[in-house]
Amino acid sequence: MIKLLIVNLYLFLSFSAMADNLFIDLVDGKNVTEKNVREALKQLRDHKEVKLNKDLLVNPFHHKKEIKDKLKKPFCQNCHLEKPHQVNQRNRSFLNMHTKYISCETCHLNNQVLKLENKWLAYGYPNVGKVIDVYSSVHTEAEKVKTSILPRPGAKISPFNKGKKVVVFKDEKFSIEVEKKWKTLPEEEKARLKASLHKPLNKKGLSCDKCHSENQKVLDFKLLGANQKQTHSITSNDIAQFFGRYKKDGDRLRMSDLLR
Amino acid sequence: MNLINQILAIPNGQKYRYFIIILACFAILAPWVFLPSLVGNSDLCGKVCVRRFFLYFPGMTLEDLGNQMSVAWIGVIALSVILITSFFFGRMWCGYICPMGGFPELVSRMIPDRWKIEFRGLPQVPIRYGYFSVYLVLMPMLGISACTLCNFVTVPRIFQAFSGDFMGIAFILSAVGLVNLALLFLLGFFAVKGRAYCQFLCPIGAMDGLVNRLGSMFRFTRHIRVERSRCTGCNICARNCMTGAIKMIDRIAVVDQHSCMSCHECVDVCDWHAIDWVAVPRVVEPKRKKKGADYFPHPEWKAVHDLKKKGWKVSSWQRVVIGIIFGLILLMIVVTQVGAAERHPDPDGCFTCHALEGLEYVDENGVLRNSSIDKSHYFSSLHGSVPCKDCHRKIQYFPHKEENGEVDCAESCHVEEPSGKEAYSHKKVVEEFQQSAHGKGWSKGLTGGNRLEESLDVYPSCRSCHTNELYISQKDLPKFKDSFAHLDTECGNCHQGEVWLNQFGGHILRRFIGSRWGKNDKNKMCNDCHADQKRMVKVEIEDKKTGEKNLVSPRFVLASDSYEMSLHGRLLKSGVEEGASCIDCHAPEGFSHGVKRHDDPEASTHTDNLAKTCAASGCHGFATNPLNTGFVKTDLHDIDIIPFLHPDSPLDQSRMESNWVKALAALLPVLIILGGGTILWKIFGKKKNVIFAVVGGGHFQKNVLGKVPRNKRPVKKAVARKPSANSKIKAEADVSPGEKADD
Repeated sequence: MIKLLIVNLYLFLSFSAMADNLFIDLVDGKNVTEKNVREALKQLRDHKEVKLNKDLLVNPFHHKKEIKDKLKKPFCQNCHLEKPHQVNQRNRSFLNMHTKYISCETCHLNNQVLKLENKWLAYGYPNVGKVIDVYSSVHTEAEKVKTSILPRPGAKISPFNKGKKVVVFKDEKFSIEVEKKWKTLPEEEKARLKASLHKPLNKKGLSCDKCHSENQKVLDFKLLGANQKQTHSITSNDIAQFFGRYKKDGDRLRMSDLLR
Repeated sequence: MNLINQILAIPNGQKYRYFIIILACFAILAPWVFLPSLVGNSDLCGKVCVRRFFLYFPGMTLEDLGNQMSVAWIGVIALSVILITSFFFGRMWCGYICPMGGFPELVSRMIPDRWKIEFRGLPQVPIRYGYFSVYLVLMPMLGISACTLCNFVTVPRIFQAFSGDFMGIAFILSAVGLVNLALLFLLGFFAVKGRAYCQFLCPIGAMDGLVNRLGSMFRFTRHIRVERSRCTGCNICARNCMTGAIKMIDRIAVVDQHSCMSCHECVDVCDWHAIDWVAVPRVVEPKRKKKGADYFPHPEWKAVHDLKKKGWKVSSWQRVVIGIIFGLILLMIVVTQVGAAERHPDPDGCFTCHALEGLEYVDENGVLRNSSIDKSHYFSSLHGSVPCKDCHRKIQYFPHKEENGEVDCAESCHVEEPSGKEAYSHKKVVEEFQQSAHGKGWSKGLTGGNRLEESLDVYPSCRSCHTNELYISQKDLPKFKDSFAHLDTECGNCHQGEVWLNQFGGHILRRFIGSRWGKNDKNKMCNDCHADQKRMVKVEIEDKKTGEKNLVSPRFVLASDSYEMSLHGRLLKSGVEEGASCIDCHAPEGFSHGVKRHDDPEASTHTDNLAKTCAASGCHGFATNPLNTGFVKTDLHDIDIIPFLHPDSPLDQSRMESNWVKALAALLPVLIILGGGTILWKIFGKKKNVIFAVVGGGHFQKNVLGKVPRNKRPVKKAVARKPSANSKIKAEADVSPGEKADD
């Protein structure tokens, strides 16, 4: 019990610099339960390191578009891959597709209390860390019609709280401190740290219909620059709709049924 | 001190010559390679080669000759220039410029003459032209490649080795290279005056000699000529002649114009000015002569001496025999080269999802699995008309089970083949493939998931070589669009769809302009597996008779390396498209997927079929002529030209059994003796003014200089002196008039 308090205090003090970041505040604020710690410890022990196997001798048969963006890495990529979803066979590729223009926190932040706004955050140079104002060059009504929500290179939709960004980048102080701790702490402490970092987050993110439906509350498409046509095509997206027809995770539906 | 004195004692004309040779070394040899690099070469092979294009293969037509000359066109020009200058000015190239002869000569001059071999006494004309005719005719017939013993390769490679170039180091460390190096020592450094290779073995020298001899028959050409009336028979010119072209006959110097290299040294050392590099001056009889002026005698510089050599009768059995041999060779030669709208073959709507970018995940083996497909690329590709389900037959549900996504390349699809109206299929190709040497590779069950397993397999799958390509490769597309710039405006006026334009236009353009891959691309495809020695070492070959499996020989493992060292490989690497690629021999027309094992009687490289293969590629039309069995036996995967110490393959005992190593074993003791002798002699030996070589020196003195060594001369009998009035010496009795001794 005392050990718990001391360690919690230790963690609290080490992160106690009042960061202008909601995520860090949340990490500091929430208490970690024993159950969380036990789960984290189990995951640590069962984890298998997978090395990226690039450049196989046999090339893929179909031609892919290769686009490499030089983006700044978010804090999550200290441990997780850039395309992190691996388990759910149905979803994983589609979710990984979204990582290109939506940041992790948008779907995985466990927040019912605070008011969050989603805006375009620049991950790539030259304006890293700054909000991209879609309407900065728009002054007339005519120009308003021409804005677009099409992904901007080097920018991702990220949540903001009262103007403070929630995303933590890999080179920020918080991230560097966590990295250092991770290397030096023994196993039990590591589990505790892991649990505390993930406390403000949900393992299972938002489902498709939380954005891809009418009357959704997560994304303000207009704010993000979408025009009428785009808003409509997002909210009535085919794929999102037929994902809605799956009742359970292991379901397999006939494709000829889906496209009716 | 001695060295400086020696250098100062060099006649000025010779200093000038050495300087030009050194300049030529700078211009032609590594690492400067100034002249070869002007034409994109780093060595003297390929376009620049002067020695191979005139080789005669039985059954050769003029077209074949034209072919050979067009590959080495710069060599043809260079050789013509050399021969023309030789006609007018004597052998300037050989004596003044050629670094391949000049470099050994200069090095040889720095080594004392005592422990060297005197080649100059040998009968040059028979040996040189005998070898030349063998080189021209017999060697091609026997398939002996002149490249492995070429001096134009050895000396440049040595320079390359010393400047750190890989080709040079690889050459020196291979069996062939070591033998060539030993020969360079034997015929160059340890030959008196260093020009033994030039005298006897160089084909350029042989041709040059003939032209020189021809030119010297004319009065207006400059060659080394002797003024017989001034020659005292002192021998100095003959002793100093670089090639031993000067012989003393009846104590007058006679120049052999076949062998003379116009190096001018004889002129520099003759005190009597009895020999000079001149054209015969015009003899004009003046109509009036000035009193007291000296008009006579006119010097009659003679280049060609019509002398009856001793023992060389007009008609003799020696001449008959040589005549028969040449006649036979000659006899052998004589007797014997669009629906207008965009097509949308996506009836199942697969592209609804698969056209999205970024559909990827990392599987448990760490392979990035990307299911996005570039839609416009697919429709413009070779498979553009094929609906997804024609290949991916078993997919019905989403999410797809891993194994249901598999493709069998032998499946037929719904595209109708235009000529036969049958459903198109790769079945025949797959069958041919399964019969071939690669047959154990995957041709069905190909999914995204087993790409890793396929990559680690020794045998190639369909996918190892074939991906879904556009009709024209990406990198060639701008070039084609350039050539057919009107495609957009002319065809595009009606056919608006970009995909249709790319597909249909590509379909036509490819046939107009030719196949997509150049030879280097084809080689790269084969090399992806065959150059990976770690993979190749694991391949097993099953003996057809006994059925037992053995690992492959080093020859197989090193096949890619030995090809790259060969002339074909080097030509392609330097951008000359006339080289033969892997496909040209192993999978020529009609054999595409059926690369068979070498010992399979149907293989294109089987000895029975090889001649047709060489002739089929349009290069060596004469290969099918039955007299050319030797040509077909040329080893194109000769591992003797690969360095011994190869990083990936261990030194195999079998490599030590090659003939080259045996030759090396024979040459080395000779070189060691000569080298050791030189060093010892330098330290301990008696120094004389005039030195003759240990090997062949006596023969040289006797036959060329006309000198008999003191201890072999007939004893000079005492000559009776007329007793003078003042003399107190009594006349000896029994004085017989002795023969005048040769001195």
